[in-house]
Amino acid sequence: MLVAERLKKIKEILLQKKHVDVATLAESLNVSEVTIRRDLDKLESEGFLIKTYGGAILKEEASKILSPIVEEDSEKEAIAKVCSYMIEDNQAIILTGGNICRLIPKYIKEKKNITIVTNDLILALECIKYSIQTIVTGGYLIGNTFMLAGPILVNPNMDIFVDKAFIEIDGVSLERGFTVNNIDLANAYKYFKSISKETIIVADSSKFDKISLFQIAKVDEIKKVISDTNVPDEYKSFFFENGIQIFCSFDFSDLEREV
Amino acid sequence: MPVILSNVSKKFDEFYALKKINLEFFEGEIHVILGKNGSGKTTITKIINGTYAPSEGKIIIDNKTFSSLNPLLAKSLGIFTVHQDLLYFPHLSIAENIFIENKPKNHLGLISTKKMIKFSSEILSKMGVNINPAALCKNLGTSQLQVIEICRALVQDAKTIIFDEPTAGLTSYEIENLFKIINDLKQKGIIIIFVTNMVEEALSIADKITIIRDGEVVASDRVTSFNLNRTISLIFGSINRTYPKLKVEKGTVIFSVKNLTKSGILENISFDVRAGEVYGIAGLVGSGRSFLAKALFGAEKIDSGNIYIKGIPLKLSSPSDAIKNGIAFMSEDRIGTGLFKTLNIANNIISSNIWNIVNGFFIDSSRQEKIANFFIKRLGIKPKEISQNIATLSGGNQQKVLIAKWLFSQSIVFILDEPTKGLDLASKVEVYNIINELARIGCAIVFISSEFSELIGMCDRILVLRQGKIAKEYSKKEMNYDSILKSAIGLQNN
Repeated sequence: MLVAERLKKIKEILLQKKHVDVATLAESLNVSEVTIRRDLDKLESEGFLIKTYGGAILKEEASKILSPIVEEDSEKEAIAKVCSYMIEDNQAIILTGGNICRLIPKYIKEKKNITIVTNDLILALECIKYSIQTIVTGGYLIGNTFMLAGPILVNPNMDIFVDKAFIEIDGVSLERGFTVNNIDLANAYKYFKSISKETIIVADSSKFDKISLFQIAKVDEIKKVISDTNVPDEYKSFFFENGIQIFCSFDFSDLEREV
Repeated sequence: MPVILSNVSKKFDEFYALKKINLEFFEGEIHVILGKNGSGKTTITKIINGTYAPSEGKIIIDNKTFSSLNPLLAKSLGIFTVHQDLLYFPHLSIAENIFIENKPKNHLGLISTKKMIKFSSEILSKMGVNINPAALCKNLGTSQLQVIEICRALVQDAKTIIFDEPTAGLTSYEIENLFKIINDLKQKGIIIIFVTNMVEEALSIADKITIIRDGEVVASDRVTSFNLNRTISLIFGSINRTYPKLKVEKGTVIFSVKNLTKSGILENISFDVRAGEVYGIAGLVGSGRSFLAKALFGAEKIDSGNIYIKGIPLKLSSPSDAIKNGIAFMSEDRIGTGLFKTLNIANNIISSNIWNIVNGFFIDSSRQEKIANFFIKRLGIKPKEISQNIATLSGGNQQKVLIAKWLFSQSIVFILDEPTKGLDLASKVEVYNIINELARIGCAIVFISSEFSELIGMCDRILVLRQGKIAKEYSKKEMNYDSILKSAIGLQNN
């Protein structure tokens, strides 16, 4: 079998199976493992795959796992940008998991001496991308969310205290306050609230008038909420009159490109 | 002779709307009754004008004591009311409306239209209002109808005139005119009773202020001796509004005003505004703030002084000069200043930058549609229909279309004159957040308002105007309601 033909075959297998191991490839293509390793090197340099221990995975799969970052969403971007303006040089900040919080690191990369504490693996990867110092909490992985929670979330000896906690939640309701779907996350976020000077709730407008299972805080326990412009009017006026800053974010920064 | 209420109470079933009110209203004095809605302030005026009879207490007028009045008796005692809902006959002439109750007669005892027109035009010109008394009333605006009602009281020899929230629905300009008229009436020795729920308004016109809350007088004193710190809490109990101010880094100065002067209105007004800065201008009615707003947009002529954008002096002889130079203007009068009420959302948005989307001889309609939809989405304009006529939109949504228009014409300086006046709370919150975003993209914002608390909540600095001059400039740290109010009414700051 010619080299080119063999490479094509490996690509086909990878596209189909998403991942391969060296031994199986060597056997099915009837060449030595050394040859296969050389082939994988070549395909890796082409950017087709990423080598792993004893095998390889398809590049596009790899990128999905390494940065399964949210789709383009101008409303979420606008919320994340407003959050970034509340983060100042030399601050320690908690960012929880969630599609909005994950967008924040790229907007704070210019700031100096920031430390991020997070319970979210994707958010940690984003921080790596932008060279932001990061502490990841302990805990178990909740389903396929990449978020950590549970009794071992934080080592009690670590004794950290942060300036601000940005907590992204699943439900906002005037009656039931701020809620999430998972009891361990709820406990984690209550803990975050207790170790930060200021707690800031992050939620896009689709989360309003929704009640999830577990409460993190009552409405009047929070002083700052960041969302988008479609927050229901009732909430805008209630927050405004009851000592809660409500940021219903707009985004005009890309006008020149868009119009 | 003063009008005196002595121990007046008013009960509706078991509920006391007024409790043991003791007040005296003197000739040549503007007595403001200040209180929030439902506090009982209108009930007081209705006791005085004979609409309600008191449940207890006495009314003393011209040294005569009454246990109650009725509307006819009150009128015969010279008591008249300028109502919130003005009473007029749209299909009668202005003169007939003024003389509706006492038409002048000729020597034969017949109604003399000639005399009526002559007297009307005399009294109107005394009011400084230039309208034809023979014209029908139906075409008049709120402020002109108000003047008609005042004239009607005067021709019936009014001794007391009650103004019940007279500024609702008036623009700042019309309010200034009204205040001039009221001050003239005061000079004539008329008793003025002025009912309002706005502190700033009360302080700018009152000689004496009575604060009423839950049917009781909680304070009554000369305006100068008022304990300002307590005023707000006396009226409202406690309120805790929180403004969503976003801290943004400031750039270089992009808008400057140097020695702006207009004889009799403004004197040597100078200030600088940086990119990303929200610069507040505070002042009472008559401080010149509304004139300044319009002058900055080229809508009022100034005598001397200069306006600069990025250091380059501008010659603003009309708003179109201002627009060309990237200055945008928003006011409480959304339709009057910027929007075209016969056009739809899309056409309003492109109206100030139409050349941007002209293709050959025609407007590129698919591009126009794309642009309009973009702004509708970004600003959350409702309804989302680009062909919706602008006049059918709510105030808050009209304001957003206006913002879209200015963003599309690439404005970099935003002059906001009472941008939240008349809007509901949710729309106010949106305007504040829009201001944040304008600051974030590097615009310079001049925020003019009669509501000091919103300026304190949203501005980086505040310039206080008093009688056309700069009273003081406040930095973020120095701002507080009490001292800004004192600067605005000219009391000593210590």
